[in-house]
Amino acid sequence: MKKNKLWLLVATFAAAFLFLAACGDSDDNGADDYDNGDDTTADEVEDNEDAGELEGTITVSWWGNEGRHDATNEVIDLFVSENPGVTINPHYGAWDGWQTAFAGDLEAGQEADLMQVNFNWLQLYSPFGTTFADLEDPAIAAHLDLSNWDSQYIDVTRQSGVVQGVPVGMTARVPFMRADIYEAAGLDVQDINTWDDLIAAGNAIQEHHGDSVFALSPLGPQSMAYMVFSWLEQYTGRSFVDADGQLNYSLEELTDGFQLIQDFIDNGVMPDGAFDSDPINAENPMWIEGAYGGVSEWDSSINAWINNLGEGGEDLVEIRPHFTMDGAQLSGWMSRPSMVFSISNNSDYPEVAAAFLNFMLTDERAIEIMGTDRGVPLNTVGRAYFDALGLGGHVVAANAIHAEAETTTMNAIFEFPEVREVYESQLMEIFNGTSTVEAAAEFVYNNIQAVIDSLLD
Amino acid sequence: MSTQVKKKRAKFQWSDAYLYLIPWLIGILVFRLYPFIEAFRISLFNQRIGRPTEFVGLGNFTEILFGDSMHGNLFRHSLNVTFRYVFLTVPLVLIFALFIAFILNFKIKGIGFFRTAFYIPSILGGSVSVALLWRAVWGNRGLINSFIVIIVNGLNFLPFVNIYAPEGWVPVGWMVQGGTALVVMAILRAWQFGSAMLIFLSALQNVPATLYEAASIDGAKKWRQFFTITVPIITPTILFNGIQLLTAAFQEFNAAYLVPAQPGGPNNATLLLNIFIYQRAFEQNNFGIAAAASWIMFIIVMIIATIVQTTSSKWVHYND
Repeated sequence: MKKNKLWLLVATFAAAFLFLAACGDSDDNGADDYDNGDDTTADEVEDNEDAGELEGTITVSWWGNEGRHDATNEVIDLFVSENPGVTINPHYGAWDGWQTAFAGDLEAGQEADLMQVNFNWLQLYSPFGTTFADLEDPAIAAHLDLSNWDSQYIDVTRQSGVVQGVPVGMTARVPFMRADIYEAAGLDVQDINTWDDLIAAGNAIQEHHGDSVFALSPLGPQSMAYMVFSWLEQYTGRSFVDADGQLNYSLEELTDGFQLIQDFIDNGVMPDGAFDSDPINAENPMWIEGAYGGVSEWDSSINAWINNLGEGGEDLVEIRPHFTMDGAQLSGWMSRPSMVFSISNNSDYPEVAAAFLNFMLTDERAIEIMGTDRGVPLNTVGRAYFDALGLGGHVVAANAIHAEAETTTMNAIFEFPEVREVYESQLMEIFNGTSTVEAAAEFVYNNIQAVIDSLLD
Repeated sequence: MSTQVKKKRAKFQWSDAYLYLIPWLIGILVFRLYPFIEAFRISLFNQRIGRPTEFVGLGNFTEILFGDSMHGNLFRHSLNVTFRYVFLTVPLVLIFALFIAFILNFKIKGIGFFRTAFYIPSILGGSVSVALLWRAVWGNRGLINSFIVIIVNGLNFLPFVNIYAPEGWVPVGWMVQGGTALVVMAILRAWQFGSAMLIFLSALQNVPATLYEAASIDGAKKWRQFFTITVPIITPTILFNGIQLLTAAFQEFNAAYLVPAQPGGPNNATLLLNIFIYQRAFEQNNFGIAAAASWIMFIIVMIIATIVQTTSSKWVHYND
């Protein structure tokens, strides 16, 4: 009896232990878990590579909308049809909750072989360049031609000198204005160039349409921050932090910058936090119904906003250059990679991942299939094919407007979640009327450096 | 029955029991005990993906409990929010569930329909659809404000046609004001009282009818019967429901994540502990702080549950 009990207990704990061991971290647990039964050995793969054939099973992950999913799957099918030794398992979904799953996979060493990642995730998850594969590694570089990218764009993905990804495109927040709302108020959106023009337009729009219509939508914390720090760049000629990671603004300058949001609220440019209880996104009812005369949005995301305006929406929305000021010392355009692709350090087939990545971003047919579903390509080969397609639309036009401007590349620290938490919480306090501009600026000034320092440690 | 047969049967039952327990044991070891212990281990380290793991002892605990950093300030704020949420929600659900169960215990026509109808919200759980429903009810232009508008303006006003609020009337920002946002969350939880109600209903049906008959003969009114007969007899169920609701309320996540325009918003007014933990771990890549916060939450829940359990001997009446 006792033996039986003991045996059962031991068996239970052994089973649990084995299960845990299988779930735990390991160095070689990447692509194996996604393998479709292909038992090709590494040596065989090398032999086949020598013969110019790729073999292996990889997983590719990305987030996006249906259009991006369909296009990427089509590109995968095309690549696999030309590389019969390759199997690609797609893993995709919507943005909501993606980072949670991504971080969980990464922590468990279960990430996909090839991953679409957000630009600031490179700094967040790989500050020492050790989390993702080094794309300059000869085995990878043999399949992924980094010379297709201007070196400055590759450099922004370096962490501790190691290339951790390739940017697909560059993006910036662009003002998209509803010409009909401005015209009804006797304004021409083409004349709205400066912050002062915008503030004057807010007053004029409210005078004509009433208190429930605004020049812009509520900006949301990220967009408010973009406006404020863009204004500060123009005003001071300095970016958010210097090369040593020191905050580049004085308390007085920060206060002046934060005042912009209060001016927006006070002058009908955007409502305060009490006005709209719905999330500020492309599905926002007030945007669809015409209560907001514009949005400040990443260029690659604007189509969703326009599509929700229904038929004729495209004709209503005009793209404008970023607002500026007299005597601006910088343009205020802050650009950053729209998304980056990285290869897992745990991948058994990094060369397959690299080859597919190269194909997706530089093959003529892949570029045609993808269209603008991942924005405008940044690499020179992909861009040439893209231009030859003659695609138009707001995404292309918006990309052109900031690509032609002198932009500053956003420092990843600016988007680091813990840094964002400091300034966004205070901008939201102003937005919700629970703090003054002075108190909010002082909070940021007193707290943000400690957070930055802890991250650069 | 001979002693030998008895022993044999007992032996057989023991091994059977262990056999049947194995799946559960594996489950609790893998999905409860291991994460539980692992979370404590992580809480002692500065653990971030992509960075060397550094042992900090109780540093994460002291930072969030006493530190002046963003983590510390926000943790203490979220603790405050969570306590307010729990002490708002638990009594609300208990009272509401008991009240409805009491009504549904009467023999009235169509009782089956009402029991089902009251249980349906619980089935919906904390889904996206519930979040959308709650926004439609409590949003600036939602159902509640529409009723207020009708009352303010009379029936001539059609709230579903007019897209803007009437001149001079400011909609109540139930979900965009710090003071009311948490109450809206609590009402959502109270609305999903079905499970507690069913348990109360089952307990109420076990109260002997003879006690009510005797009380009626003695002239006791219904409300007196309820407080002097029903409540004392169902106190074990009240205790069970109370502890269940308490732990569930401390662990609430979905409502505060899905219903406000910003998770935990506005201005962190609905920043429940689980939202704080989620943000540290998965948005900020700070697993050490998140694990320490999880453990503090566990200790708090354990202390409160222990106090409730310990004091229950004074107010819970068991039949035996």
